[in-house]
Amino acid sequence: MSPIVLSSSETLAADTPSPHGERHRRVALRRLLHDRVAIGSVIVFALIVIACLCAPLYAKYVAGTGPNDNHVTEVIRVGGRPTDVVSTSGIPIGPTWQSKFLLGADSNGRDVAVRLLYGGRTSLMIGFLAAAITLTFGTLTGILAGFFRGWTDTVLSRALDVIWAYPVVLLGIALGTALELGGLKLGPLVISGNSLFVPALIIGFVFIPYLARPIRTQVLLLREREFVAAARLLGKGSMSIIVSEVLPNVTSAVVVFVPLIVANAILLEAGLSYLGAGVQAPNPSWGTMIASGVALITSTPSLLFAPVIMLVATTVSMNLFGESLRNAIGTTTSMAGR
Amino acid sequence: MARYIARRLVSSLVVLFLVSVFTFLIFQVIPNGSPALRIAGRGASPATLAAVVKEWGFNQPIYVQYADMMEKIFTGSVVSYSGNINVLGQLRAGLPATVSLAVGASVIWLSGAIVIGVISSRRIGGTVDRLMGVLASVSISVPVYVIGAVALYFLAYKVSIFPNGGYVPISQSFFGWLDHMILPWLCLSVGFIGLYSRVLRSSIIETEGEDFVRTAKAKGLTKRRILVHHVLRTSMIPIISLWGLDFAGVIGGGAILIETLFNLQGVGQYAAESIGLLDIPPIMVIVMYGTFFVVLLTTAVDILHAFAEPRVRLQV
Amino acid sequence: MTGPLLEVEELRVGFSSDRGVVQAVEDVSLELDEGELVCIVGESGCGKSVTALTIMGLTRSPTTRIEGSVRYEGSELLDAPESQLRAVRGPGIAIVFQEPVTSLNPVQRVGPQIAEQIRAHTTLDKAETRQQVIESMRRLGIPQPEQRWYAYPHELSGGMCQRVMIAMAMSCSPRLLIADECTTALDVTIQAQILLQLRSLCDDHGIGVLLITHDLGVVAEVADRVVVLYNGRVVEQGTVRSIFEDPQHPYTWGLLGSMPRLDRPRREQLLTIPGAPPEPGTAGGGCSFLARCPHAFDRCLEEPPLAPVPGASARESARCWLTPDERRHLRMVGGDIGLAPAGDVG
Repeated sequence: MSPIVLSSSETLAADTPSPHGERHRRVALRRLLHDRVAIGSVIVFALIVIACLCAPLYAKYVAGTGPNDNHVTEVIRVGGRPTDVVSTSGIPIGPTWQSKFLLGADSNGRDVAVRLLYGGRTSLMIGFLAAAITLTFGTLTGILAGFFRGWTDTVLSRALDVIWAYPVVLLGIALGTALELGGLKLGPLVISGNSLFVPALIIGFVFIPYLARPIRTQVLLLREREFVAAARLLGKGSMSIIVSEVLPNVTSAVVVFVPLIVANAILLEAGLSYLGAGVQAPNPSWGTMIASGVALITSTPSLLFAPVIMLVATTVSMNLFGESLRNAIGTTTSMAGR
Repeated sequence: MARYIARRLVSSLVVLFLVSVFTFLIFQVIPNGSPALRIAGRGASPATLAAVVKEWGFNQPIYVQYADMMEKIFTGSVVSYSGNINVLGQLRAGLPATVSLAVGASVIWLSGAIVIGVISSRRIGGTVDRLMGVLASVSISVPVYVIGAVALYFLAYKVSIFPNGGYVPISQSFFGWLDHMILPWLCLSVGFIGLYSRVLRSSIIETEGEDFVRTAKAKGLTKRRILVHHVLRTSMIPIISLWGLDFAGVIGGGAILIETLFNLQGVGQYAAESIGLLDIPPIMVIVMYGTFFVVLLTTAVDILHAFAEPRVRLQV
Repeated sequence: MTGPLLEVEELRVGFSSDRGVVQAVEDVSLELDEGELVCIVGESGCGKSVTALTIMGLTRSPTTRIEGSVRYEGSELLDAPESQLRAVRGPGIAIVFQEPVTSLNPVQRVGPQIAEQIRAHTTLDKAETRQQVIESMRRLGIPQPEQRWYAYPHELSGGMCQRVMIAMAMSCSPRLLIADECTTALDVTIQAQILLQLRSLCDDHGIGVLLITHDLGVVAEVADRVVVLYNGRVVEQGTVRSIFEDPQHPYTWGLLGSMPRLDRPRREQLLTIPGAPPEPGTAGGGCSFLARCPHAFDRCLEEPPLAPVPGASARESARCWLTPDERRHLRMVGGDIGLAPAGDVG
């Protein structure tokens, strides 16, 4: 499985809570804007997102076909000669570098380029949605557990420990297969097994402890700081303290995690879909495309490389950006030895 | 120290119990639809369905269902209805391959990570360090099954340096075993080396800024002694914890993707095949055992950690 | 041995950061003989710790620019190869830091940490080393050293850790001990004991001690000579008597005047030095104390040199354009030495 990139709670806990404030933010932003790797990766990522968003446009105007349209028996002209889209022995055509079947076809005669873009939409949507779930619930849980301690902390921490105990892929598979047949039922809310919300919910859920635990540790440290004590003396209630004192300080830690979580969510979705426990056929996703690509690697390697390149480009750019972000926010003063 | 161990054990028992409950919830409670149908599989006959309902207690209250499920899983009597095979037996058969994969890979990835982490930390920001950083980012972004597929394609199919998948038990032939495991080991290790080397590098950089390292220099110790005896001893500690978690994860079936690709017939591959067939019982058992193993191993690693890092014993 | 034990000449240390080079030390020169206890005094950020660390070679890095000369027993240390520096650290010069608990390796017991230094510089075997360590721990007043050998740093109090640090520093019988604010983190009674021990190292064993502090009380207690640092420069130096009875620089007057005294009638308000200590490396032209000095005049726009005090011994000097007569007059505020409040000046 693709290993989890998020730092262990030990590594983050070793950082003292960083100061929040205008100057800090501006210095970090300046650093970021000067970092060529950061700019490059943001541009690459943005291009990928835009391309995938334009999937319907590409499908309609360039390729003239949808992601699920089969053309198994069709014949097209390549370089002036008529060729089978899928040969009689079941081998699909490779990249034609023309507007139709730009990157070739898969064993069902579907246009790879179109599927690639639609699959990107799916994978990215699930990735972002999952990341949003993780960020929201992870931060919430971490702050509540760290700030209120006592029973709230015990209960929440145990819950986080349980989720954390499962190897990520195993939990994803468990939830994925369990929910596949009938879907999800949360009280009155029923989500169909085929819906894209299911993988998003699963992936978002699985990563919650990876964010919540470091946040909790940070909040535990922040609680003891003077400005919290000062706010309390001023008579501020807990909720108000959380919003005005704790949240801004936790934000820089959370911000650093965002690209990491997005990248991991996308990777996990690809992994689960590859195994068949994520996005279900015929919905395209980079994971499912990679699965079929692996099977046909000996005959049509392009089927594998196309989604792989897209996936790798997306996650690498996210990870590199994450590292640049960490460097930018990490230290605003650098006096050796003091 | 004894108190710390006791506390740790108690808390892991609690977690184990909660894991069993949660697994139960995942498979029998949360999803919509008939649990019996899920367990029995897609093409189940009405007779099989009735048998499932009876054995698993689906017409009984929830806590009875839970008890039944636990009993079945831990007495090894879970049967996969699509082929009428005992799950535990299949699991046992796949264990040697999975263990070989985990042990070999973890040795390689730990040593690789240490070497690269230390080298990168010598000249921070230098060309080697930046190069390693980019390579690390790439290695954790490329899915492990892709690395595996590409490796298989080039090194086993096109050029027959390595065999095209399959597993040879060590009892049968040491070199055959080695030959079949090298590629899976390397593929699994790549991502981990990328991650661990960066974590170690950060840990080393952080440790080197600590006061006690300054003292070590002031004592007139050699650079090597400072690095090995002071810096590494401290900065390796977070790595060991991570390592325990990941090692357990691989054994628990996390290396599903590699096993499937290389046809190692391990526990992970069994899980993958079950997914394809939507055969729930094996997945249930693997998830339960796998997670239990993770909890137990991380508890052991934490206790070892406390031996190495005395301040931890004061923590709750 | 003839000549001073330690000579620092026109030391300049600058650190590169995002915002350019920060000069932590602009121009520091001092000398120290064996058996002498010299105090470096100054506020935070004046460069005193950086000076101490640079003497030990602990500030060497690609981003640090060090100029000037540091000579120990006549040999230059600043450009010495690492191997030579390593040989000096321990048997030659040793240092004790401000935070004793974090200055010790947290995952190692304290006994072996002291032993490590001995083993690095001598050929004693394990048993002999352990003996020596226990002996030095005992001499420093650490009770039950045989058991304390097995303690972890976090199990010991601050004062005990500092004694361990001193034992470690003294373990190879250095001729020069640098103590960098080593009592700042301790409470007053322990501080007194440690200072006494440092003093006896000078008197009884002929060891040179360079004590860095911001506390004039400590200076009065143990110093032979004093070097006053401000904004990376030496602004005054002299014997402890001359600094307290005949201070030459307005900054020194300010330091003395701001100390509450039990033996003098109480003022209505404590005298403070107006303004705030400068950020390291923010040097304008002119005297570095210009912005805060109520006695500044037009000549002060040009930086004064460190000039010897006329009629005093060779090692007394001050960096100020005022004449000795003017100084004697201006430093008296309400019958005591101090810095006149701004606006109160003729």
